Amino acid sequence: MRRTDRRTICGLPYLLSFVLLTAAALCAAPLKATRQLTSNNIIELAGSGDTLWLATERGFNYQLDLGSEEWYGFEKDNHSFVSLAFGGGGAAALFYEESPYEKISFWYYDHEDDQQKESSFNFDYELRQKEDVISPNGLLYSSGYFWTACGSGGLIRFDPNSDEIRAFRPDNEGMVPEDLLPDTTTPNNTSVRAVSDFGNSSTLLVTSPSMLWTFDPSSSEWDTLVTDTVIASGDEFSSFHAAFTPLRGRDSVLYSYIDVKMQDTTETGLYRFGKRTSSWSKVLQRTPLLVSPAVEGYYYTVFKDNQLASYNDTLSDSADVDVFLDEQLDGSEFRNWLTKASNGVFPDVNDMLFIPESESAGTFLVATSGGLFIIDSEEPLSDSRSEAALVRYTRKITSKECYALPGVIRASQDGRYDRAVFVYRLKQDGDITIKVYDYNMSLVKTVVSGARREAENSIGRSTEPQEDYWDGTDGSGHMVSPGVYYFKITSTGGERFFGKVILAK
Amino acid sequence: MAKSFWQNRTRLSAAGIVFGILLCSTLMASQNGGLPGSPLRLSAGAVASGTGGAYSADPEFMLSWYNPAQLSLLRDTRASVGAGLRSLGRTEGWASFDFRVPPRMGMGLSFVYRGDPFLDDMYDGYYDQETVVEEKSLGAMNYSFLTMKIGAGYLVSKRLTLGASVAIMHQSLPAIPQEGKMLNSTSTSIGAFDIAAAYKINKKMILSAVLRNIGARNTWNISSEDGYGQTVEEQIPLSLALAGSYRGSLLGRDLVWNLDLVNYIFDADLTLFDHPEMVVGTGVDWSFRDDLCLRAGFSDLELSSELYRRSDEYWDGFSPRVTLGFSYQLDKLSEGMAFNYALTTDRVWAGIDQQFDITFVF
Repeated sequence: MRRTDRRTICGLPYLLSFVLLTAAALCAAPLKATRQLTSNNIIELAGSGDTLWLATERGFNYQLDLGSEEWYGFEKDNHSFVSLAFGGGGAAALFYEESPYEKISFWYYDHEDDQQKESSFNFDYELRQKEDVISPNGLLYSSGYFWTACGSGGLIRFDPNSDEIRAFRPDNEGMVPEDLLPDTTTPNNTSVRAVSDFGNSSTLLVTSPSMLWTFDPSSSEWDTLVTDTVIASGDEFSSFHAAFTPLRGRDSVLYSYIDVKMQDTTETGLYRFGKRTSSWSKVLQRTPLLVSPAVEGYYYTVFKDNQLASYNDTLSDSADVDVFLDEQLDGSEFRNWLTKASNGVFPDVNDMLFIPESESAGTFLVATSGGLFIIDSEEPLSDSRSEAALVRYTRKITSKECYALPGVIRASQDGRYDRAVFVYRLKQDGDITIKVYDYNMSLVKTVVSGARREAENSIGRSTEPQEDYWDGTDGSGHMVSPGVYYFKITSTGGERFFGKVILAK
Repeated sequence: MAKSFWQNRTRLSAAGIVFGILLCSTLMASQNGGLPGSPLRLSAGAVASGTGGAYSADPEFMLSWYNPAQLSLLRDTRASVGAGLRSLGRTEGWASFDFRVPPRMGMGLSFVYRGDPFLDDMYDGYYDQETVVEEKSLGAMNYSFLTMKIGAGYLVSKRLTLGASVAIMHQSLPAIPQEGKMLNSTSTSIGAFDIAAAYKINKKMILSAVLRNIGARNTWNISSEDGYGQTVEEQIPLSLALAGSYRGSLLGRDLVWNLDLVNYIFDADLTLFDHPEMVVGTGVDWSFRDDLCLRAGFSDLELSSELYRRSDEYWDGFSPRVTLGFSYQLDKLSEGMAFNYALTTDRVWAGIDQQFDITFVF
């Protein structure tokens, strides 16, 4: 459950109105299919059972047999990606287009039919001018539909079967007729910030700034769930951000990110609603950026600086907030454990997902900017963990391919763009020589001379990245002039490769 | 008797100068790849390329490019236009127009494009230790280097001519991948000079000296991801071409032998390079028939002290070009028009370099 602080909705006058215009189904061009991971920057996870879906920086991927090496997917630059959800035999992704305040689109892929489709939803022109009004947030599958929270637009529902997109708002007690929008009588507190499952029921838990709601998709009825805004610590309640319940069981337990006014500032914290006291108590002293419910009472959290931790909420009724959660594993230790699994470098955590397999165990997945961690048979109740597998994208190359990575280098000294590694794959083991030439084909530098290389290493390449690189210098160690440079790789096996690299200063 | 002696002494002196420079250069020289302006080192024009790029002493076309001093010796108007495709996707195009300004002058204009428009199989990404991260195609990119020269020559005496040209250069180089696009860095150089002198020893022999790239500075506007680029200035090194051309005959047909010794000795501030470079190009131009001329030569022969200091490395990097070419007169189509073609090896055996152009004399 991600804090919904990307675009705040508060503040804007009651307003607004809006409404939607059309639920027009678009016949957009289908996304290009791929059989490999589209990027190592994995933004969001979704799935259940054996099916896993990923939203990455450059598309979507899925596998129908969780943990297998087979990846399927679709390529798309996800600059305007909002969220991904899986359910009902397919996966849907939500996008905004041009700006978050003009149009949202649902892309849907049906596993059974192997078909893609896309539908768009245009907001009223006046509404587009008020940027806090329409802010799509999250995507959820429930009762045969995909749902997103969309500011004063309320809940937006996408029907994958009919492509219909409709809006529901708390104050309208049902579906908003298309011709009623925009509605300027909408009270501010019914602008919607987040939607999530409500326990095991098919009811949706909807967060608005001043109260929590339930919404029954079958009857389209709204109900007020929590209006108490008493903070046990005596701090002044400001507004709800996003609420969620445990993954299974404990239907009475409810959590929410809440803005609390302190003396001079407003701080957001993770709170739990106590039925006995009818008040909100702070769950953790530090506010986690992400919370992922696991088995009953257990949660995975991510704090600032990518500190991961698992916690057990004992539901102790003590007033001491520290007692509410028993720390199972120190955050830094968990992080170190994953760091070791990723060979020393642990990137940013973008999302987490726990897919239950039994009452006490499941598969735990951590989506990061540098790959996907998969921990099988994870038992949050246990102190021990099985080995994490790190899935990263590596392009398969043929024995005819040869290029520099990155193709454009400069004297950045950032460890990324300040050297070009020569990527190649020999047909047979041999001693290789790599030379770099300028445009005139004058020799700039002999980078490697007579070094032994295997035909294929663990990722299907012959490259030895610690040696097979050029840093933009000549044989004397001086940086050479900006330009296009050419390299030649020869092996004693009789193979020759040519490629290009740009030195951009 | 006295005239003959003078002629012999001149030849002897010229040979002595050449030999001396050759000897001095070989003591220290080595191959200096990666210096600014490397695209300028390639010969432009199919006629020049066919004779090993040895075209500085007595060029027929593109005089403002090769030797502006010879502009004053023009007796007609000359133009050329052509293109070339070199190995690994390097491409070029050129055009020139040279004309006489009576009684003692000539002027010329030349334009040369060089670049690589086939930068389309390149990737962004990096290695994180042994692991590949974020590897993705960079899409199509293009590098270009444009040069324009305007030159003039003046006939000082019956034997001596002087000339100069001024150049404008512009480069565009892909630099920063950003959101599916590529930001280019650009460089501009305005006011690089060439000065030249040509001395006609007799009817058969001409010696020339051309000092190129005086004051040539590339001012790079370097792109950056945050939009705040920087300006970097780099200097194109001077080159001194000592050239000779000798007109003789073979099997009763005219034969011209050309030789260029191009020295990269000083940088733009006249500071001596640690390892000066001398490159030899030479070739012959033989009139096989009245309408067909054959050419052959070699170029980019590095004269380097590595030959005896580190002979293994010298021979390992030994990479002169072998050149062939021909010209066919198209007088039936248009008086004074000719088609020229040149074929050269590329020094690294990645392919061959080809050039063709159409020349006009009117």
